[in-house]
Amino acid sequence: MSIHNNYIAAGFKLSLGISFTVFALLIIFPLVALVLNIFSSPVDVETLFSRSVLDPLILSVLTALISTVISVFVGIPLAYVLTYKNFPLKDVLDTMVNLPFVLPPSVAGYLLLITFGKYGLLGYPLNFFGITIMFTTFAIIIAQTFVAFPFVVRSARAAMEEISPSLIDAAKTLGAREFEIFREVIVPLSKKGMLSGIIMAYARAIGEFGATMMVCGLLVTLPVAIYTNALSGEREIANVLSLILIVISFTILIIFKKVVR
Amino acid sequence: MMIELTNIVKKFDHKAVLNDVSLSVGDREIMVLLGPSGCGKTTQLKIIAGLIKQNSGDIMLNNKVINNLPPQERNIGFVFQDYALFPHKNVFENIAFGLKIRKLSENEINSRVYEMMKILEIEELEYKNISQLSGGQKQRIALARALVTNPDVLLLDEPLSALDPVLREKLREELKNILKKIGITGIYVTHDLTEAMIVGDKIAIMNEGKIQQIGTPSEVFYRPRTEFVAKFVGARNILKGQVIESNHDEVTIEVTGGANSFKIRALKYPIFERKKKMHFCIHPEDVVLSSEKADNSIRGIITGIVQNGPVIKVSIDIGGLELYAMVARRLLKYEVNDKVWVSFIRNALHPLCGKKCRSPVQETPASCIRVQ
Repeated sequence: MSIHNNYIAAGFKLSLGISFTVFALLIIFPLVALVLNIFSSPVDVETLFSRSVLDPLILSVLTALISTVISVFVGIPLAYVLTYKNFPLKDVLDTMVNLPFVLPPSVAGYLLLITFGKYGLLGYPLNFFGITIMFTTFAIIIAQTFVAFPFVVRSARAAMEEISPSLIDAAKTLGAREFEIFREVIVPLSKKGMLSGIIMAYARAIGEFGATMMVCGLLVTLPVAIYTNALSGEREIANVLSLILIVISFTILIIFKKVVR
Repeated sequence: MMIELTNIVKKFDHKAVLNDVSLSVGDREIMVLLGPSGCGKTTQLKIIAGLIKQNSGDIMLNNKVINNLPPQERNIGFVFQDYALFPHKNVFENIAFGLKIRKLSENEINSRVYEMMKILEIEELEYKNISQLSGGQKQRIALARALVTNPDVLLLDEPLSALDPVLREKLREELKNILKKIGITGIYVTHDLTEAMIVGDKIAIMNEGKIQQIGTPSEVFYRPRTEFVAKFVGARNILKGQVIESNHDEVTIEVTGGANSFKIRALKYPIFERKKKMHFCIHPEDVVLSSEKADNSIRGIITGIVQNGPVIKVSIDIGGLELYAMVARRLLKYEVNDKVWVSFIRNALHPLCGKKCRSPVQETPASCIRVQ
């Protein structure tokens, strides 16, 4: 019996060791590799503040901010409707909201192309009025919003579902109408969930690559700039941009942890 | 303010949770809905408040049908079982919620909240967070929040069930006094008989979505009309038998159901006619045990003795029929397997004549009431 227990304990320790090794291979080694690369190919201050670094940084930070704001206005009402309303095809809407989580980014980019492209479903009539979306900043914002808003919906909805139905009922019997209940009860009690969804949406938006790559044209966001610089052999710039994106993502995750706590 | 429910039916997934329920609560009267869990008590309250829509039937407030009014326009207060206090607001903000929604002036809100806090003796809790309150304090805040908007009717859904027994015992009398002091029409849901008898002016006993009997606490306790009500109010001795002799004020009943029948004499009710077969109930506290043969007594064997709070519950086998007696602890001098003589106090036997009544809302028929 004790030999059997020893085998189990040894097996458990071995599986912990394997887990840590895989983690190191996936996360720690690439980070170490990046630091070594930065030291082996140092970048001068001029390059650090050059347009090839600053332009993608500013574009990414701003477009991610705008797409996060749009995600809030789209995501929170959707979360409310999915939590508190019953209607036909609710499951279909729920599934559609979650689609960007599982769709390959290239598919997302292609869908945006055939929707907002020059001859797309919406792009064609817009083009008629002289409005072009594809290959502009708007296209980047749309691509980022497409992948970011489900994070707001999912997180806000989970928080709303945690609210006891008797609190909503109590507010009703005290005279509160739907919007007053939303403002006075639902938002204050789910704000933590909403906030964590917003933070994750920003992180997802700023890191968006696949769909943006297909719709950004000549504009270059941080992830796209890393890709093009890495391919063209500009490793110094690719290193710096990667480090900036890692620092931004790390900071966002730290804020997320604080909010969730 | 009077509230009346007529033929309310509510089905969930084709299963009737409320089945043709009718109920009338008079002005400043406290009606208690008493029944086991899942019998439809809370659903009934939610329908009255407008939180759930009934499939059919009418709700009338002061003779005005309010079926289509949303909960916000019914002016019906609700104290929830879990209190439903807003955790992100302090005590004052919770109580003031309904007044703020009504957009009253700050002075008006302050004066009404402080007045209600004074009535309920919770002034010192004004700035406390909900998480800092005890169960009893939460219960008072929930009551204050529901009352401060001056509702026409107050609904209370098991407001004491989350409290410990000692606090519950203290608060149920206080709650009754507060409700009477404010003078509000109320419907109070509980599954606790003692609580129902203390708080209610009237009690409606419910089972499986139907009201079995409505009456004053003493009516439902001493004159249960159905076997369910009898068992629910503790009259656990349900007997069936036939009237074999009847004279001016007394009858002899042959009780069957065990291996051997036996005869007992009882005071006469108008419904007792010769040869009539009926069901009866006897409260365990009306069953008397003695070592020596007494008048109108039967021989039995004690099969079980169980401590039940301040009294002892004794089960006795009488020829295959099991009866229960409640005996004060200091008076019990028997043990299991002792042979005893079992008699009943003169007015112990009560006929269960519910099936003869057309509607459960009707009062107990005169034939079931013994002329004193």
